[in-house]
Amino acid sequence: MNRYTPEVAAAYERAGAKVCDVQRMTLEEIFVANVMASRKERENERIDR
Amino acid sequence: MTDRLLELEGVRKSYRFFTLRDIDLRLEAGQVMGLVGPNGAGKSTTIRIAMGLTAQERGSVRLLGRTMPQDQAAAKRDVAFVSDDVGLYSYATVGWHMRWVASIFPSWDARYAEALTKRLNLHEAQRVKGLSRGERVKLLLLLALARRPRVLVLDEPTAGLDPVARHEVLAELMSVIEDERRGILFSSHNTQDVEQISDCITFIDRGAIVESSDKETFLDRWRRLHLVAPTCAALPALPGVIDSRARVSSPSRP
Amino acid sequence: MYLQLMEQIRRRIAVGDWQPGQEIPSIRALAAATKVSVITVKRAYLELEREGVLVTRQGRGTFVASNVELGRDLRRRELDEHLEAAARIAREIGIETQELADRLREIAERNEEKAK
Repeated sequence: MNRYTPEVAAAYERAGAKVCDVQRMTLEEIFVANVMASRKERENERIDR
Repeated sequence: MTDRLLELEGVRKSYRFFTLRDIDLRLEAGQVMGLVGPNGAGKSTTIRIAMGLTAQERGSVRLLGRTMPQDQAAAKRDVAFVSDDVGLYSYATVGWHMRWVASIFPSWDARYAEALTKRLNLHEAQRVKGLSRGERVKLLLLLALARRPRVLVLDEPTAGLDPVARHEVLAELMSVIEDERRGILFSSHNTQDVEQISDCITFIDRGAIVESSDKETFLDRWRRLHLVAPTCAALPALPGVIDSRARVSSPSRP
Repeated sequence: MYLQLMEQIRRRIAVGDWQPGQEIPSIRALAAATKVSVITVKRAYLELEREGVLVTRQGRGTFVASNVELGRDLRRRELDEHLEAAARIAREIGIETQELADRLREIAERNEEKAK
C-alpha cells in the first residue's frame, strides 16, 4: 500500500519501460521467486568456473 | 517490555555437504514464528539446535534464558517439541501416553488434556499402531499442549495432514497464543500456513537466513512488477531485484 | 491478508453483525477465532481505526465507531471498489466508458428481470 515506494517503478519508466502493474505478492510467490533466483545464481557460478 | 523466549546468535554448524551459518533469530513472548525454506535448507537443523538436540559449533543459543545445549534439562520443563522424531510407543494407547507424560511433567493439565482429546477427535483407548498420520500428529500436539509450555516448537506440524486435521492443528496453535506470555516456533513447507498464522517469518535457504522480520514488513517489501520494455538490455540494474523470466519481482526498500 | 480481514470486518459491520458503538473482540481473541496471526489482526484494526471505522479506547478495548451511517458508507465504498476494478479492466481491453455504462445498464436490467 502506501509503504511501497514508487522509486523502483519510476526508475524503470525512466529507462523506457512501461510499468503495467504493481502487485503485492504472497509468501508462496516470494518463496518461489527467491529459490529460483538463488538456483540460477548457483548455476551461473558453476558455468563461470 | 518484551519477553524473549528464544534467541539464536551467530549460530553455525557444518556437515560434510552442508553448512548452517550466521543464524540469528529471536522469538518474543506472544509471537508465532514461521520458519520457511526449501528441503535441505536447514530448517530442521536450526530447530534441533534451538532445542539443544544438536550442539552448534559456534554462536549462542538461549532458550527461556538458559544456555543451550548445556542447560537444556532446566529449559525443557517449559518447552515442548513436536516432531516426527519424537517417539510414540506403537503398542501403547493414547491414554497411556497421556498418563506417561503427566507423570513426568507436573504442569500437566488433565482437564485441558481431556478437552483436547474431544476437540481433536482422539480416543484414549486407541492404540498408536492404528492411528493415521494426522491422528499421530494430533496426539503429539495434545501431549505437548496439555503441559502448557511457555515455548512450543514444531517441526513440519501440518505436513501430510488432510484439510480438516490441518485446520484443527492451526486452531489449537492459535488458541495457545491467546496467552501473550507464550510463543510458538514452527517450520513448514506450507507457505500458506506460515503466512496465515505467523507474526514473524524467517526464510532460510542453503543454510543461511535470507530474511527474518515481522510478517507485515516482510510481505510489504515485495512487489511483482509487470513491465513492457522495448529492449530488455536497456533496463537499469536495481538492487534487490529478482528476475524470473518475463516477470520481475522487486523488494522496495522503505 | 490484512486487506481480506479488513474487508471481513467491514462486512460484519455493514450487515449489522457488529453494531455501531459495540465492543469487538480483542486482537488475540479475534486472531484465535479466525486463525489469523496476531500481527495481521493488529494491522487490520489499525488501518480501520485510521479510516474511522473502529475506535480503540486505551485500556478498555476496541469498538465500532458510533457513526450510524457507517453501514451504508461501507457498502458504497465496496461498490466504488468494484466499479474502479471494472473501469480498469475495461480500459485494459479497450472498452470505451460509454460502452461500459451501456453494459452496466444492460446487466442491471437483466438482473431486475430475473428478480421478478
